[in-house]
Amino acid sequence: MIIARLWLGALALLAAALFSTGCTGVSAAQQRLVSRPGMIFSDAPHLSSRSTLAAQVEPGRAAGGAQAAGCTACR
Amino acid sequence: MRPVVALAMLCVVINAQSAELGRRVFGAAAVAEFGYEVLHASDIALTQAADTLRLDWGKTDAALSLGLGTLAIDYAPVSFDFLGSALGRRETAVSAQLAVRHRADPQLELRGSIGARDGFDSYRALWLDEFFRQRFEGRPGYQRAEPWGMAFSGGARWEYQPASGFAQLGYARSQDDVAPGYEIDFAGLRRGAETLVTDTVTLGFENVPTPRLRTRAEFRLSTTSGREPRYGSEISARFSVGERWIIRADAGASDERPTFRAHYGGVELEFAATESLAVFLGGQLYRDTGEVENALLFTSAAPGLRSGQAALGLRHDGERLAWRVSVGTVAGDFAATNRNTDFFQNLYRDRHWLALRAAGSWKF
Repeated sequence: MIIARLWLGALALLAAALFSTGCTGVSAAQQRLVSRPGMIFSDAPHLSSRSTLAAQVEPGRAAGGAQAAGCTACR
Repeated sequence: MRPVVALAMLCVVINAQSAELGRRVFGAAAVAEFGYEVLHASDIALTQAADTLRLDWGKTDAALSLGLGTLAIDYAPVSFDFLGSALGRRETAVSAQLAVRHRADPQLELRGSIGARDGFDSYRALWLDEFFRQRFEGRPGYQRAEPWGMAFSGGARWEYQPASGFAQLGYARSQDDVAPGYEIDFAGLRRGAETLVTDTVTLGFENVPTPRLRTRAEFRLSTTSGREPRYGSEISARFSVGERWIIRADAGASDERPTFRAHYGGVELEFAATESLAVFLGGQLYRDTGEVENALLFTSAAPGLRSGQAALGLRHDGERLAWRVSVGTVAGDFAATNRNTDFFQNLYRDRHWLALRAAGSWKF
């Protein structure tokens, strides 16, 4: 459990360091490279690498619902 | 009529109408999106198809999605299960969702969705349902499973720094009527929990820290009936190496007391062969500790799992048509079952999956 907490904490720290824009940010005019289709985060299926079936074979990826609950038919 | 076919026919009608209206449908810009997936192993085949019609009125857009999934299993009992027999089973699941986004002001977007599903949500639920059916069908207390679920969500996305800093907060509630488990004692047959309610809160951030880097971080808390909270986090980065090369990396973790932990991560490399065509190659690793066992004697909880994925694909980005196809493999390696879970050796056996995906969008 401690390792898991450390892992989550490390992710949070990494996120804080890498995933902030600072005080000014990057202006829209400077975003040509990060605006290409392969660079954006999107729910559109042709732009997303997320698999809807993946949670069935790797249940830890499930965001919520019965699949994330794991043993839906236990006992 | 199959919902996907119905949506396709609707798209054809709208496409004809859009030609007359100059690419406006019901006063909105319209986009049709489709996604198809196949996962195939020697004894299990899974497919999922989803078609979405997205209408954009400027400040508000709505997306109607219809889905159809199929699950086919070659159920095989273990050799010492004298009550079981091998059987092929095939089920379908249909789903629908309506999602709406509204830009309340230039920096704030409000989001909401409702959806429902009718059918099994996983091959494992189907496998376990067959296990219990062969054992207990005909006994007083046994009922044929009719799993279904519904969900709604709401949230907001705040652009706190123009075009480069976004924060997103969301809440979702889902209710799933699952295929329950059974146990039998001197009092007779008893059904397990049939309804699971899950509440999920997510907090996410998307940023552009440099002109070459886009990042996203998401933190998630889920509570499900009768279980401990599950915490999750996922970080993603997209880095443009140059004009033609992109590196995409993701990592995530889930944690649920007392013992479930999952870690995963992957890297994908993309090369732009032309202005509109890109080829990508990626791999992912996944590891979990096995699911929480809350049974004293007998449980169907999965043992620990390690798996790896690799995929190769193409993406085309045209003015009206964009698509993506990929072919890959997933290799899953389960830990050995124990005496409480030996009846499920064939469910939790190592498998090699073939993974096929195709997706696209069409602007009317």
